[in-house]
Amino acid sequence: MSVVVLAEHRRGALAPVTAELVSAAVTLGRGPVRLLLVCAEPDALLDACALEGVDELLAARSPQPDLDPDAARAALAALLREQAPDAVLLAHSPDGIAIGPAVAAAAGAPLATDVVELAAGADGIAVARQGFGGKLLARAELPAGAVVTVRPGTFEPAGCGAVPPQVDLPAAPAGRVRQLGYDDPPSGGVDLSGAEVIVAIGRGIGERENVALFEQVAKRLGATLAASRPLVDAGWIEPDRQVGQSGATVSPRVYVAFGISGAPQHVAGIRRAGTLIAVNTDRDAPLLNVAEHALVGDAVAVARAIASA
Amino acid sequence: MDSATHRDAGGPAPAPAVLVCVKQVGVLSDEVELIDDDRRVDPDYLDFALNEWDAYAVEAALALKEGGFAGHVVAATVGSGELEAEAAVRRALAMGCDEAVRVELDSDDPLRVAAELADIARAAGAALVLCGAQSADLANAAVGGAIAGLLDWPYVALACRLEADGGELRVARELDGRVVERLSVAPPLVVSVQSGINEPRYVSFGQIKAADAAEVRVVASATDEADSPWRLAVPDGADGTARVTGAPEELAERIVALVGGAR
Repeated sequence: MSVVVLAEHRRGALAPVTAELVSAAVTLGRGPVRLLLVCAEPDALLDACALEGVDELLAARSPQPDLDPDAARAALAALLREQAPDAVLLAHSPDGIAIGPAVAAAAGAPLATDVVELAAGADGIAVARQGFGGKLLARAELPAGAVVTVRPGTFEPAGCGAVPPQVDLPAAPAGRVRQLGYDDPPSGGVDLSGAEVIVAIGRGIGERENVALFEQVAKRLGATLAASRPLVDAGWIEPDRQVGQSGATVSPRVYVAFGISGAPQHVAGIRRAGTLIAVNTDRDAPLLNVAEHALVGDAVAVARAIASA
Repeated sequence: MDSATHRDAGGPAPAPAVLVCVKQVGVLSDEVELIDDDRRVDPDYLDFALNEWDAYAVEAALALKEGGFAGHVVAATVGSGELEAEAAVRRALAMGCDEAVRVELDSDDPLRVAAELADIARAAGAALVLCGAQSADLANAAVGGAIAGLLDWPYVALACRLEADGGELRVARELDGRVVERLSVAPPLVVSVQSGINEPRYVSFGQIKAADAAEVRVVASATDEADSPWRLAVPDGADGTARVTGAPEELAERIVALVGGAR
């Protein structure tokens, strides 16, 4: 019995979600928790990997500095074969989804992705995930040996612990994908992270022409205008105003969402908002389930009323 | 392999075939009925449309073909029923794909769907598989990676730029917080495409009519039937609790008061 957790890291830092995965692994109570670290210089991340609940650190050197999906796939495949862990946990993140499903498919292991509940079942691992934008919940009990990607923010991160004993795994061969570098978002744009009040708009505003109306609403409320991803994809609004996993993470005192259904990637960016107000014509929109004030109504009509009041 | 060696001797190899994976996704209406012992949503309560991410994947495949990197573009879907599932590949044909395949199988298991698509990639001699980052309905974000795992090909998830660079592909992938990672990789490979990577082309009525009349090759499922462990339920709190209704003016007043007074 054991649970393997894949450590996520980039540009020399351990991703905070790794500590959440360690918590999840401890919750399962299926024997020792083994943290797998695949990187060029495992020693540089040792201190960060000293997390409460980690029983063993498995280190696999790989030629590329950052987590190499090919190297991680090879290392996890070997662990599944040789150690038969009860579960392998990864984050449902850009790296986790690049690795987890490939590992499960190659090994013939059961797979559950973007899991929002995880617990020990009678025999295997009980998991739950959302479907249809959060309108349905799917539950399953997976047999031992399952590969699971866990939604970031689901578990409280594990605290610091002692430096775990280290086991060196065979070095991974060079991956087939060459890492060339990173592009950071341009600086000097709108900084949503410090905004006190945010008015955010989504597909429900209907037309591009309505963006100007919400600029007025934002001004009237002393708020900064933001948007969900589809409006950025459509080119209605600049990318630096995007809130969510692939945009900005915000923590305003008040967040007013107009016509945003509440995809998990958007909700991930507003978890630390104070008062959450959501306006939507669809009373079943998932964002209304998490909003403190769930207002059923037409976003544009409400906006006109605010702008002209 | 033999034919590739032969081609190398006699001049430039023809551009490799591309498989683009598409899915007609269900969009829930206001009401929902579960069927099949809570395994599935009754299709009568769903509206169907081409998965948004897949339209970007089709556009990316066509752009690579037009740029000379890719050759024949095959669109494939896994789904049961001519009318519903097949609409996805017909849309791909209308956009300009060369060939359409549908696997006759009704399954929500991404590993099983991936196994079918990996078979089609092999049969088509594809050196590149493109798919959407996720499906709007179940959002597993798993099929692309699973295909890569089955074929033992590299996988690049969440591409937001995709350019041919000689025989290689330069791919930018989207990470959290608008950070982009730049990569270079040689085929064969699998790429999942993030929304916003391109602008899916306009499809005319004539192209839609032609695609409706075009042939879609239907193949039988090659994977074994397995009972799904998943059971669906309507989550707590999704039953209309604590909703505020009212005239737009009333809702507006409430928002202004909550924000702490307009300026």
